[in-house]
Amino acid sequence: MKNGKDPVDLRLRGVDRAAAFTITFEGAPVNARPGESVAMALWSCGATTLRNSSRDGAPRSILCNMGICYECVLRIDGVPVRACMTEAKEGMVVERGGSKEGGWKPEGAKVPTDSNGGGA
Amino acid sequence: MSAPAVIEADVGIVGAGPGGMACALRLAEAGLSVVVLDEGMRPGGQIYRQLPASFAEVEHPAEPPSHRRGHELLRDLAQANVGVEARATVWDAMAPVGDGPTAVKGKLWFEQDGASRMLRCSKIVLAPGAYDRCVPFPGWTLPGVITLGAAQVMVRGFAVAPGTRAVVAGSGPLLLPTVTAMVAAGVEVVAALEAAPRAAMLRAIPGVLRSGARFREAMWYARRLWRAGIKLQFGQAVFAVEGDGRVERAVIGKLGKNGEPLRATARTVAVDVVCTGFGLVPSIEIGQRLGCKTVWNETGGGHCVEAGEFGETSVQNVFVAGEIAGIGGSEVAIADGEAVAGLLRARLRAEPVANALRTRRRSTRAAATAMLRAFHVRPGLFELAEPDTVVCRCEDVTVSGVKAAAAVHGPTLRGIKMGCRAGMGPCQGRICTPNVQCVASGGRSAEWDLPNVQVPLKPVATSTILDAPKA
Repeated sequence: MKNGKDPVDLRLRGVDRAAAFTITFEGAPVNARPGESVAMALWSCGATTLRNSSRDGAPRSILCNMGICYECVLRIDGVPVRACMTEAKEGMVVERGGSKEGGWKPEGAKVPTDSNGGGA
Repeated sequence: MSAPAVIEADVGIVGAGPGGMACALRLAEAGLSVVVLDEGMRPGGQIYRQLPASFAEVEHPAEPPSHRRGHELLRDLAQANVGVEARATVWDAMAPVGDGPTAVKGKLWFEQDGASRMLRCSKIVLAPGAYDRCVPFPGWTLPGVITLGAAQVMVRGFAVAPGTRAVVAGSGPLLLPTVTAMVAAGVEVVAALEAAPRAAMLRAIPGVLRSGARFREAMWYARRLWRAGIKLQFGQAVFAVEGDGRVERAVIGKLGKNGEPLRATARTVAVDVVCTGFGLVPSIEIGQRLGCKTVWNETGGGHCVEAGEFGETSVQNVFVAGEIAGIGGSEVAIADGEAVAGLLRARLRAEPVANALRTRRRSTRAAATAMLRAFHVRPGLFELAEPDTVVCRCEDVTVSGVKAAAAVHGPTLRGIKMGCRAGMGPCQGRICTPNVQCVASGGRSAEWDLPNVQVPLKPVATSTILDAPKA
């Protein structure tokens, strides 16, 4: 999203927000406004990848934005929470959920991923 | 300063959307003590989403007629003697048993701001709403693919634009509000695609005309679209989404008679956000946990909690309002909520229930059903997904993984789950359950098995469970 020139800000005008404060995301400072969810603060500045998927490490982001899908689970001050259901607070240290390398694979379970792996 | 771990009420309501609010207000009027538990940051539910309290609207965005009722409900709720617990995730429940002096109270355990709390009450009303039904297509896991509901939360709930150029695609009554929200947010809507064919839409018209409110609502949205110069295109869908780490392009095209993609019609558009949703799925898990009988109702969104004429369930002292008893929208939810409240008030006074409540509940539901019949997920849509398309997003299970599991363990929900872990991640199958069996059968089965209910009903911290107030 970042084009190198203007910082991305998807916040709409027509609304007065209280003064911005800073949270950190993956070590970088991000502006948030009081009342915003962590997900919306990150989305507003173009930080879309909130976690890496559990097995193949693929980038994932907000899907439902209402606490159902758990796609936006990341770590705030080390604790896994849904970014969409958590209000941003000054000084929060936010890190992506999952890991880029992909993580846990069930032992012994065969999960076909190629096109020839299908049964039926 | 910290909130008490255990709170008490005559009636505990889950969900502060239209159904829960309408019910709470009518009960409070009658002098009953009411506590509403809601997972959102502020009451209103998804349909009457409010901006954060610290936001001040400088320009009031135009709203559809139905939202006037939402403002009334929210204003009345703020003034009423109703306890509202926001940010409350209900993770376990126990039904109230019996009446009178020997009665055992019901319990709703919830996590709130990291604390483990419980609501004890004599009656439980479930109005937890619903969530978007997704249908998998290649690239639907890319950042930038969001549900119709998610887009509306961004715009109406937080005044944030979902992107700059969008395709809005899917099926059902939520398409129009989503396109309207995108336009209001200054997003360029490149295409608005309804998967149902035009002929099916014509069948929805009698249902729309049966409810004056619904007709006015539809006209309001139609006018907005017309003004924005956006045409809803029927019988079309997103075939795939592409991009490097996020949405950059969408492949869209026409659907055939069974909803199958007609690949020759595919065209690619540059977008940075894709909104998708094929109707709604009712949130029934708390009802299941309480032992409520469920019923399959395809028009109503799948498995619903079976409800009587006033929202009674098969479990004494447990009642339902709104989407949990079958998708119907805010008008239905309000009629439902008031019917439940009317029944409880009448019982309190040992009086008969006002017949008008029953009639209104029945007629709003009938009108909603007549309209929703026009939309259903056609089997051919499941041809969109490729063998390596993810079906279960939590566990990264692909179409071929689901098919392999079904081949070994049978095409049941349980068999597929056992074979490949689809539905075993943190969303507890909420997103993939409606799809895995359809994927396994190539869309031949539209129905899905009733999933087993699991405690915690949503993932909560271990400490929440360990610190749970005792029953």
